[in-house]
Amino acid sequence: MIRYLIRRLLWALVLFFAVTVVTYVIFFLIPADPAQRACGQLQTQQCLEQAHHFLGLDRPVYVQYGKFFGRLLPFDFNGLAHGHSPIKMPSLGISFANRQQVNSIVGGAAPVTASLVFGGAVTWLLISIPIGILSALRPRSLLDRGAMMFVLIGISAHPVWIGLIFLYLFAFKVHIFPLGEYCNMINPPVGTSCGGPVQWFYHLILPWITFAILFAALYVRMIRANVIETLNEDYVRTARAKGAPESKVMRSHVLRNAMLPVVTMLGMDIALGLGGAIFTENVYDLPGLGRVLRLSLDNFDLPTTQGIVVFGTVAIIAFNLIVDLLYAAIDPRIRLS
Amino acid sequence: MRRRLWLSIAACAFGASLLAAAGFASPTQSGPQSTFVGAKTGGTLHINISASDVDYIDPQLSYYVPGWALLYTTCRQLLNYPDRSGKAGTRLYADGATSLPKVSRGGRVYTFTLRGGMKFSNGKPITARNYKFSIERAANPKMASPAGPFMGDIVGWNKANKSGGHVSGVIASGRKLIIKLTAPHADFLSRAAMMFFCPMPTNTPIVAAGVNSFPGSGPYYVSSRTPGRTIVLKKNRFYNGRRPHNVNEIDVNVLTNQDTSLLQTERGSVDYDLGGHPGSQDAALGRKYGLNKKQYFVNPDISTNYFALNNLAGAFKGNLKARQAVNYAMDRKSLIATQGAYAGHATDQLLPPSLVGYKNANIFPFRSNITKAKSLLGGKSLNVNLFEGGSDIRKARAAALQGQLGRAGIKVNVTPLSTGVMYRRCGTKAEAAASHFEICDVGWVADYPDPFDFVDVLLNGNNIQDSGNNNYAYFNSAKYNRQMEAANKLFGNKRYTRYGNLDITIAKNAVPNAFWINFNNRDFIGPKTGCWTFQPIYASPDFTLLCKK
Amino acid sequence: MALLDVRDLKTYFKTDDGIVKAVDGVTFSIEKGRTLGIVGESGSGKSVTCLTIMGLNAKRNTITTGEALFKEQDLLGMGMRRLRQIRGNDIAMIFQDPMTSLNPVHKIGNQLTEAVLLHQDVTKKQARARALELLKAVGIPRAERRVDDYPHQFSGGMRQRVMIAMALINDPDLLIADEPTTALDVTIQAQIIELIDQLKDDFNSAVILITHDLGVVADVANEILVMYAGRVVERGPKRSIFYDPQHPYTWGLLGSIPRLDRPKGGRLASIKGMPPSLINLPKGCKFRPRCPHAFDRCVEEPDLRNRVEERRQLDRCWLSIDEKRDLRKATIKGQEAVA
Repeated sequence: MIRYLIRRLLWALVLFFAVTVVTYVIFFLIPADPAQRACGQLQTQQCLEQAHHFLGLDRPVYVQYGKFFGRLLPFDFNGLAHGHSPIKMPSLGISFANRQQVNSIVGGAAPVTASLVFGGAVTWLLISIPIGILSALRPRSLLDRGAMMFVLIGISAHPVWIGLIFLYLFAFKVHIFPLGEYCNMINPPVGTSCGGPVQWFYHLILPWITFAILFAALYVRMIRANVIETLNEDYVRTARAKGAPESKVMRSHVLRNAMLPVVTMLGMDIALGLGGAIFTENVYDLPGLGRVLRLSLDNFDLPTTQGIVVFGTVAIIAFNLIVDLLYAAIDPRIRLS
Repeated sequence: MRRRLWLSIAACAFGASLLAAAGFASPTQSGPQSTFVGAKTGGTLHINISASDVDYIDPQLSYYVPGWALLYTTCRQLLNYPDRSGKAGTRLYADGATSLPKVSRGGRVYTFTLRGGMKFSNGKPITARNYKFSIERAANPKMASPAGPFMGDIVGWNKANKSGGHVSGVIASGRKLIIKLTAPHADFLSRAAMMFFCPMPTNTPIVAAGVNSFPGSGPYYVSSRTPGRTIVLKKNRFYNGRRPHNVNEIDVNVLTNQDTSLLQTERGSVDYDLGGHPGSQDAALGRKYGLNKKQYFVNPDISTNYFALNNLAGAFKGNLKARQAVNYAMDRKSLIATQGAYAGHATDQLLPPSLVGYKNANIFPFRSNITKAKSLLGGKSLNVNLFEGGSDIRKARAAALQGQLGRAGIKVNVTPLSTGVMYRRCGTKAEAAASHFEICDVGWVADYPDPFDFVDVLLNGNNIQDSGNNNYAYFNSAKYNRQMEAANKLFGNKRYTRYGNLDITIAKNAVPNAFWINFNNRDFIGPKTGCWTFQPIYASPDFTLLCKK
Repeated sequence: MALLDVRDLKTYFKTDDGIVKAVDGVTFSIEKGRTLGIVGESGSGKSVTCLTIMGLNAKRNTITTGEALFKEQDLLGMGMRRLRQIRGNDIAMIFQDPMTSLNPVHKIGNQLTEAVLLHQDVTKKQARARALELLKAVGIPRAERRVDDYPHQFSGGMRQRVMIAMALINDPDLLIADEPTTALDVTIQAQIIELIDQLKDDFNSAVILITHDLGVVADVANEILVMYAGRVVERGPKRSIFYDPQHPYTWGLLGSIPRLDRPKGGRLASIKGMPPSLINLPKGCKFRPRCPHAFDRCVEEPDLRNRVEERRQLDRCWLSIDEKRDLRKATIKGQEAVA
């Protein structure tokens, strides 16, 4: 187990390198100069030179990358040389656009995206599991056909379209839900009109449903297929032959096995969802990583873009590792070696 | 200023005109507007800024018009623009100073006398030292401020910008503030109304990230800012000037979604969106609410959009007839129709009608005259390259132009770029010299209300540099350069008349560009919002006047 | 008195292609402590017969008629709750492939205790003790350690022993074993059959042993039922079936068993042709298309009755006893080519 973990961590490091280097390379291939943004329209030579120097753009690319990496490590070599503590907080740098610490930019946006994605995952499971199971138990019934219609619509309709329709119908025309906006669970920023767990939840209901629909549709299909397949397995017949009531057969034997693939898929889909969350965040005004990323690209703000890439990479790697470990824990046939 | 809301200045201002003596009316006429009759005071304004955040709310760093529209309520510059609409709103008056400054030494030394008893929102007094401090704070290299081009001609500023410390050309002595310039630049007073000169407490931190709140000198102050989320302005209890302040608090939400924001405004939970509303909604809004009645307002922007024609190289170089043909083949009214309802008015000149000095002339028709265009071309056809930006309305007008010119035998190849890249490449001399483009879709917004900011900046050939050009036509006529410089030496009505005529002469005889539209500002406010006043300099409602019904 | 009395059992499946008559009138009975072997090839209906008795067929599109009296109660008409009380408790069934028949994500100990707790009012500890007892009884070495292992950690033979343990854990009166050795290799086969036989005595159960291989039931069966195309074609005590088989199909089955007393180099006889479609069954004797000895009377379906001295032996063939004797020898010894 330990060896497995070490190997995974080493791979993670390699992956991390690859992703961040590629981001740097792409950034510097783009024909745009972030210094120009700082100098606005006039762009005197003096201003451009100052901006280049201030942003560190006058050094070669590999030096900039090296500095980026050095900031990221929790080790302070400088401090060590001067007799201070060698440990420092890893820093993602300073935004080119508004000179805020990227740590706080990402740190402010990450909980929003996490709220949306994890809450959305719970929502799509709550929708898809019952529908998937019931459809499997009553194939070709009215419920089953209705579920398949839902699946078709859910897969085809874009979250932005769904989101705008929801907003218009359920928030604007009929005032059941709020018109977008995010409420921090704790410490709402001064000037926002809402905060606290209840408001947080209330404002996320429509975004959760919007985000969940696509995945719910896919999962209904998958769960339905898995359950139908599992119902035909021999060990289900054995369980019935033992005299188990149907509820126990479903719980202990059918679902316990049919849901295994759902666990791995869940891990992968949450990682995917991090990307797809951009659309939902945009429609509902959620100040999450999707919004920050889009803006940083518009502004040629390399540190922020890189910060999100780092955060996303670490999150996805960690998440996949957790899912793999979880899968090994629940399926005895999997042994990590 | 480029249409894209970035500020620019005519840093290399020429001439010694005293704008002060020129366009100013007496203080009573150009002072702040008295509050509306029966305006309700109190309450909180909810403002959105869709699709963007301010870059900074720090006056020595902020360089973005929506940020300036907010800072306008918190700053008491020596000279300021009045809280009025129309032309009156573009005439400087004495705000922090008792009167217009005394100018001496051939226009190089400005002596201001400060009003007494001014206080920051924390109760501390505002003195000449605060104005000096702001200039020095902007100079301090730790701030890395973009104010250089606007303050660089103050004696000692550039030195302070390199090594920090005092700016020797600014002297604070009692109630007097003396500013010495390295050369007699007449537009200095307009620059002095910019936010960089906002007085600040002398203990304001000098950090590159700027401050997110600071004691205000105006009717309001920035109470807090959470980057990416909110900005909160509150009423300055200690303000004793004559500017209005109707609401108690202004809550700004940034980076909102434009569509959702429009719904919120219609509902009334939001009062106004500094980031605008979707262009597709203008027709419906106009129909539903009427123009300039209670909620939907259309005001001319002090700006002109045009298709710059490359005079340096390519098909239009030295070819007056071809440039004229473009102006005749173009159907300005059709182009405007592609930009949404109430987009603006057709024009064939550089100066916008809302700018002092504008004189109307009928140079080209507003509808296509394909026959005339063809005859000018002598039946020949041309191949030209159009650099276009990335937004949907840009693409729409590029396609329309392509069709219109095509009918006259001018084959237009559209190169789609992102808007920022388009401006950068169009402003690069080497690209123009290699005739990578013949036409560039550009716009220009006034930084301050003087025709110099249009004519000289955009058409004076002596301005052309290697990159960062604003003279996108690369128009360089020694004759007209001299005429521009001569006009810049004049004062008052003579100045404006001369500029007005020069504008017409160049547009008619030299035809460097194809001007087509003066855009409107189309604004929508919520049902509970009143006391609308459009401040033309900041192209937004005046938030000191806006009130809750 | 018969423990299980099956009378004219029919199971039809409705499909898109037509009605599949999987079991078409099967009658037999079995007594306590006895072993009945049901023999036939794939599609003969032997498995479906027992699945029907246990009520394990899918309910949709299935028609079942007849009776299956277990201790004089009809299993076919019984309510689900009562039937579940009997399943795994009074009647237990084990299946062909022990790997897929055990739930891969539960420990075998848990699967065994589940069987106990479904039917006996005992504590978990007691159930576990019972599970251990059974594991030892079926010959699992180091049962205390292996009780917490997962199915994939056992070999094929071991898994089948676990299945048997699970079936017997509640002392059933009847054990139905559906091809229990087909998925195992030959050496293990013998062990499993021996185990079943031994446990039958230890637990005093009756056993129905379903197989396609007569060799499997040769040792342990008391009575043998030969099925073809959903019908019983011959039935009788083991000795009679092996030494005096009356039906050509039975001869074919016997002829295809490798035997030590067959001349070397001779080919094994096989029954030519394929089993008939259960949707479109041939008229008359169902074996007629494949029977090398069919004659004109065979267009009329023979009835199942006792035609020989041994009163317990029934067969479904029109041939005379003498004819049968002569033809049988040739078929079984493989000298006559099957036409």
